[in-house]
Amino acid sequence: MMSEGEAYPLEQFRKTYFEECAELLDVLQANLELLAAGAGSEETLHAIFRAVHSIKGGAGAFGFSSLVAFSHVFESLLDALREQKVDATPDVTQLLLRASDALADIVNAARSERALPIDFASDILTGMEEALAGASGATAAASATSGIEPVAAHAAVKGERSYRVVFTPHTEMLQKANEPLLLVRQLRKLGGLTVDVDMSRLPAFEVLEPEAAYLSWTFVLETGAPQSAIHEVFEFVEDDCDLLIEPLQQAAEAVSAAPTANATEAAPAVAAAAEPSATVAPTPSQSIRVDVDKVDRLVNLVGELVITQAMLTEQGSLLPVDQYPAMIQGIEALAQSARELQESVMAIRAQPVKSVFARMPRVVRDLAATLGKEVKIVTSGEMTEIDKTVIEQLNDPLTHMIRNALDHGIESPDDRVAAGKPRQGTIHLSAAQRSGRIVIEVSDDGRGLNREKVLAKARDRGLVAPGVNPSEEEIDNLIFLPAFSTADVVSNISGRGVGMDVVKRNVQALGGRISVQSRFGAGSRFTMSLPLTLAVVDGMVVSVGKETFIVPLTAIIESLRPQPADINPVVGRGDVLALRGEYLPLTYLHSSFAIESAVTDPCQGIVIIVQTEGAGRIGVVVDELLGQQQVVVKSLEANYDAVDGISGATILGNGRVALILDVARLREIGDKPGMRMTKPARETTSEVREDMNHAA
Amino acid sequence: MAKRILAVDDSKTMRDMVSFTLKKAGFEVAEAEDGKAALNVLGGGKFDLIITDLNMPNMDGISLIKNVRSGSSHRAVPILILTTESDGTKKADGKAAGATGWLVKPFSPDKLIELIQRVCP
Amino acid sequence: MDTGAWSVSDNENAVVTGELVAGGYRLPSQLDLTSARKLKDDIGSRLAAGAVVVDAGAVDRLSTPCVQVLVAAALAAASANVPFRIANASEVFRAAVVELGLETQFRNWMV
Repeated sequence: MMSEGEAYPLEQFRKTYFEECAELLDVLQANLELLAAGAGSEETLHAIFRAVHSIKGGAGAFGFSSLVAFSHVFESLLDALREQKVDATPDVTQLLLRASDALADIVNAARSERALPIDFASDILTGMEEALAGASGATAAASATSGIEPVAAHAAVKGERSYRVVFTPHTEMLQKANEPLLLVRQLRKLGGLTVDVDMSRLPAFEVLEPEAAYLSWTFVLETGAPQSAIHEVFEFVEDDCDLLIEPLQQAAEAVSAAPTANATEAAPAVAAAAEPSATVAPTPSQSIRVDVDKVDRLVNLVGELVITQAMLTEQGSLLPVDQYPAMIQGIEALAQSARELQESVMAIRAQPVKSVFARMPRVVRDLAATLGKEVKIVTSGEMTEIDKTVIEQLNDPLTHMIRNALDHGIESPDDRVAAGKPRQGTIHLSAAQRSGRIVIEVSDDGRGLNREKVLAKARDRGLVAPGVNPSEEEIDNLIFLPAFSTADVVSNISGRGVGMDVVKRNVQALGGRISVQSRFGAGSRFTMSLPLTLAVVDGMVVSVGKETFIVPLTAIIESLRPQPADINPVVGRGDVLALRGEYLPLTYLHSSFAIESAVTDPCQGIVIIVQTEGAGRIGVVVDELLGQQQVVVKSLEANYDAVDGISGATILGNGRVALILDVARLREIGDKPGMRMTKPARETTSEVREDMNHAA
Repeated sequence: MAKRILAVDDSKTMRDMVSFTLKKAGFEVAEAEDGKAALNVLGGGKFDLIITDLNMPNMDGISLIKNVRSGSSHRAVPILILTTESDGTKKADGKAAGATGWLVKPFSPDKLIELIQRVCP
Repeated sequence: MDTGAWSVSDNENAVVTGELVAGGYRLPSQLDLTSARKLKDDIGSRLAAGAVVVDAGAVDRLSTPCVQVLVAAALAAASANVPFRIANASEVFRAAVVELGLETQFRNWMV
């Protein structure tokens, strides 16, 4: 037994040790990133080694045995790297990065006296041990083995794999108190998870049996854990559900495997011995690598093709069917093929945002550890597809937003408890496609913005004129101004966060927008909306005066012709439409875009009720609806300067340019009567058209 | 608020082991030596999880599970059964009666906590 | 028809006005398996009455069966042109919706 007098200093030492660990892990992380980027020097490796060595030393003194065991292997591998017995191949650096991540987890577990699963990071350990074993007997192994073992070892080093899990509960599953939500959480512990729900079995409300299971799910899990670990999650429900767990092929792996696999067919032993390090996929792969430029060209050509096809279809509809039956049949077949071709081509270049989202948990973990905060990140919508070119540019702004949420949003665990919140803060990261744009949200349950302070600061800096009283939303968005430093206003931590003006610039450079909604004490939500650089949109074609617009179908709730009694002017908000007890602000397109000779009375025209990005619904007043049509979006950002209220343009079957409405921006105009778009629609369409003709 | 768990087993050693592990992990634990006693305890309060042995005098685990599932107060509470055999029959019997999952003896404290997280909301 | 734990605020017949929902049908804190049937009955009667406004501020446990009831109700409301709003959703409520992959659907109904 230890007396209190002795226990106290030990506690003090422990505290110091963990503070030191946080610094060392930072150093480790920074240097590993240098190494991974190919910018490392000899000293980089030494620094990495020293960091792990120090962590291990302290761990031994406090008897953290699992920490000692892990850092020992890690340290040995680093030593072998220093001695150049092992090469810093990309695979090895990846392994080191994961090991550093795992080390941080083990340190955290030791600090919070939390037990980790016995097999925690065992795959990383195995990988490191195998890399080490390869170093000591590299030459012998290459010549002695038949090719099977090196392949297995290589696969282990690679670590993360993707699995598809299709989980269909039997109707009675829930009655044994098995809860899908808990299974999802267990899966999430194994690695990066995307969730896709299938509601097709859900019956009509009246006949729904409240305790029966109807929903089913398809998960994609990226994990270093073995497939058996996934089975284990479903262990208790295996008899109460249909379950499919299958590994997904990784494209890069498959590509390098293809030639080897062919050679193996001809002379298995020779081929395997000749290239022992190649990854041999279990089944021959069908994939090839293609230069993105070639795909881009293909995408553009198909876009042109679809437009031409639409023109042909429109012209064809004027032909008498009985005189040109073959011609009309041909046009129909062409339309079908063109549509399928376009979908296929689009699918090549679109990628799920998952690749970027998957990096964020690590950003959170590292920064949370540095700041001494407890934060978890929940992601959703990872399978939302966005053009590859945009995905590549997404990482920086997203990382900044996450860092900002962690740094300025989430409070310290003690502050959170004092405020009646759980110790652990939550950051939600989500993606969705809405109104023809990708909307990415980063929300936190932290302290939110202190509007009084923000406004006071802004007045101080002359960003808000005296006598002007901005709305709450306007105050929140002041933080995006370049002259506005949030550091001493919103949080006490300074010098770490990136100014939000930089984030905004990054997002704008992508043709996107960013906004923030915040509640003091309850958290903030940053919404980033990005254009699809190229996409097909199902749109409603509408006319206003002589102009034609496309309203994305996904944004439309309904359209109607109101009665005069339904239209009421409201001071400061313009006209509102009374609809089944709701009051929806009206936006007049003719006024927003300065269009002459349009219908000005909503009761003579049509009001389209649209759902905007934020929360609200508004009514958009147009002359008439011309019909629904699939249109190819030509990005305005590429062809022409961005125009407020417009997300893109398209060329209709009759050759006319139509602008695609950006419904979210319309709402802002609805809020501010008298605000005008930057340019009349007529000017924009003609300039867009000229520009597109140039491009063609 | 700590989760409340009811541990049901006729062996005191087993009850003590489960109870010790759970209390150390921060759970509130009640004990019962058989199915009958368990139903009594359940009548006296709300529980978040039941861990029960199958072979017990007076009322065995299977009957306890059936009773709980057909009652109203703890119908939706997850139930883990303790089995010594890793073969399928006992598990299948328990599962058919309405058990949520199982725990094979001997178990490690970590495994027990992990399983609780898997079934306990 | 209300009992014990199911409190209904005075303003339960609140209508949806613009984006704001005042009051509404207050969900209990525990929405577990056993709550699903009552949830269905209660929401069913409001569907029939022509407006469903649900306050999910107190929810600190949400189960899949109750999620299913809410989704089915929202879909029924949409096809019957009945307003359906979930207001004030608690963090637990939101997290469960996200974890079950239903965020896109619920986003349309949550205010």
